Amino acid sequence: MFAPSRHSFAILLKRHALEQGKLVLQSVIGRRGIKPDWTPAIEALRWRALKHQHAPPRALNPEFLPVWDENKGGAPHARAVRVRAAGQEVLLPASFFQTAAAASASDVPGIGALAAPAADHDEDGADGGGVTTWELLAFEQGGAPAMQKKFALENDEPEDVRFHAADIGTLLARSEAVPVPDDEDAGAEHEVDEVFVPRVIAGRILQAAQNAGAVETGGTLLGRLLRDEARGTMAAEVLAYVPAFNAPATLTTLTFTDEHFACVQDTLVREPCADSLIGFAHSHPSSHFCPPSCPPERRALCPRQRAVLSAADLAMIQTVFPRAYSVFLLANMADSGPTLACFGWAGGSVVRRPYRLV
Amino acid sequence: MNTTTLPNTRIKLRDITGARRFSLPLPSDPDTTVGEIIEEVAGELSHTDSTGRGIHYTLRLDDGRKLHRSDSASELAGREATLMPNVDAGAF
Repeated sequence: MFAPSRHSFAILLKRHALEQGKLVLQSVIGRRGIKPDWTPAIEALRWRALKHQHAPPRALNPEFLPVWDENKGGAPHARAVRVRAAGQEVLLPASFFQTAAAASASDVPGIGALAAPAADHDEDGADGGGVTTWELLAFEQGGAPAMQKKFALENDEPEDVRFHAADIGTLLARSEAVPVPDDEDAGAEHEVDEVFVPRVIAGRILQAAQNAGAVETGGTLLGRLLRDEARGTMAAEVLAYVPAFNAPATLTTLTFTDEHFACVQDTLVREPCADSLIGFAHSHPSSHFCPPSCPPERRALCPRQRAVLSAADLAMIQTVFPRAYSVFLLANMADSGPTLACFGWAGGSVVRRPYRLV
Repeated sequence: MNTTTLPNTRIKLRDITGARRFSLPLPSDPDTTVGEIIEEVAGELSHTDSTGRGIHYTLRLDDGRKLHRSDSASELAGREATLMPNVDAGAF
């Protein structure tokens, strides 16, 4: 698919004690190599090239350039990685490498869950009073030989995106905007210009979340991708919702099984309008996260009540939904009432974004 | 999914979105299992969750049949299959 980076990437693991909400360094565990899955970054480059050049780029040969962290003395400490190809560029924040870091550290005994870089640390994130953090490192590797593969595996080009010509202006005129709260609008460059969600599907997602009570629920979003040549915009339109099938769920987890995805594949074949896997929806039963003993004024300010994707959600998105056009709906069942928030890719990050109810 | 006829000596694999696609020759060792093929491909993509636990994948053939990890890789000869994940969303 593309040539390997001329840099190798690693993490530096550190163990901290948590004292009165502050991290105090206890020990440096050591350096571990990581093997990032660059697919979401490559997808963003392809999408942007498609948007500006109208033809899917072939045989991308991206550059992966560390952005050194001057606050930590520069190289080899990186705060981000710049990825360039086909005249496009995306900037991957250190948080992009969380899943690769967790994979790399999984066989280090006794470290528990890794805290995300720059994450807020509270007692919940502590493992026996300790927190393990990581920092991103990059090293010139000088043409290191690729790892030997057992089966001569070759990377092929991704399947082309299927677009439908559309008058997006008409869709905009007969839809209602659901904006992002002011404090969460960071001015991100969203890959998809517009996201359209039918009211009936939004209602089904929220109703299922209500009915599920203190356990998560969710499903997969199918639809199609629209292109308006006159406006120069591209949009994702949700047209169908497949509730998670045979999906074990708890207060804080929902498992999407291979049987569910088989059902999704079969639905895509049968469904006359939807031809693309757009993303997924799930709920957070947030009003059940806080103990009943917690006073209402404190619950109202609690971060657990907010509509945010978890580390598990973001890892699932990187793994299963790397396409630049993918969108994710979160039914947040908070004390203040249910809301349906939308998230999507913006470069190498998944951020909250506006959408439109049709 | 691409329906181009493949020679019996090749295997094609894709993720459920078609963003990641792989091809490989049919392994010459007749004892090679589907599980070994999955392990090789999983190494090329995000194959753990946020806690570092491995994601369990299965393979589904283009005719809808699910292959078990213990099945012979020869079941994949000349076929295209999709990697089907078992993966958790979660609140924390």
